[in-house]
Amino acid sequence: MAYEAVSLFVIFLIFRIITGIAVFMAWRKTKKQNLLLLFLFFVINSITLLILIFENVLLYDISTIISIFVILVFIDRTFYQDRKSPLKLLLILTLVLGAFAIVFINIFSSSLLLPRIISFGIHNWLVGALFIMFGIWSFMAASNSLKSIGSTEAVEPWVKGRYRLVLFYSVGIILVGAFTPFTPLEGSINWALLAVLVSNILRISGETLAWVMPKWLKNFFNRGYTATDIKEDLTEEEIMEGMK
Amino acid sequence: MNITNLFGEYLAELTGKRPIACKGIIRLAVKDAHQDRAPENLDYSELKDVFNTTFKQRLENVGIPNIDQIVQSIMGYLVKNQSLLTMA
Repeated sequence: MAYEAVSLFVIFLIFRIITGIAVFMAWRKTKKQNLLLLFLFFVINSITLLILIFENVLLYDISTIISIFVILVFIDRTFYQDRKSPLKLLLILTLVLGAFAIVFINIFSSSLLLPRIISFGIHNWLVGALFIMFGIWSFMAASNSLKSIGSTEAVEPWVKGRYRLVLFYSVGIILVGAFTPFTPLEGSINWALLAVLVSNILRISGETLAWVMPKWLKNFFNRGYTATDIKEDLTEEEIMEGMK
Repeated sequence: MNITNLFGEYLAELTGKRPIACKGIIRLAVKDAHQDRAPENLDYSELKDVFNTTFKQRLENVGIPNIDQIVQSIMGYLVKNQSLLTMA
């Protein structure tokens, strides 16, 4: 792999590790199980990047499928508890598309049955479909929730900003999936490969900003907002009296 | 973001009581069930459990009418906005 590509993957990897640590810290503080799933996703994603650096497509596929499994469960546990959820259907689709992707990459590697360019192309279509499916569900989940809280003053603007960042990186994921089928065989570069690269840069920046949410960004989203937080100066008697 | 704030505002809409008292009763209900934990650190199942038990009990103690309907509405609000427990 070219030195430039390795450098870029290492940068991606650093951002992944930073985001993973931020999510882990949030989990340690709150012990919310879905944050542990999100942390696991970033860990697996970091491993996927390492595998990509060593150019093992089969392991990359397996790692990608596992990471998509984990993130689909995270979306379900975060947005769809006690609601109608397409989780089971999406998990089955991930398994089926992923299994076929593995079959075609094996055909590609062994150069049997199909010309290499065709098996590689089919493999890329299948992997692209996985990303599109995950990106669309992530986008829909965040979009519906944002609509629901849109006018609620009790929700701070930085929280709404986090939802918008999820929408932003979900578009990045969809674009990665949409351009993947047009990427060329290993060793060559074309417009689709560059488009996947740019989409990945947008996606990873969005994910980092959303889940790390640095103080300056929080302040930026909250500019002009006056908090209406609870004042804990009422005693229990006063609260109960106030409810009568 | 303060979870008691969000659900307190909604409870005030449902009951017509002062928001500060509604936020307070949610805070007390959380404290009844989880003494050492901040409301922000509860997950969906824990908060659901609070609304079904200690919160309902608190409402019964002050004699609020239509308790089942209020609890049902607040549970619906929780289901709809559950992602805030992770995003905020």
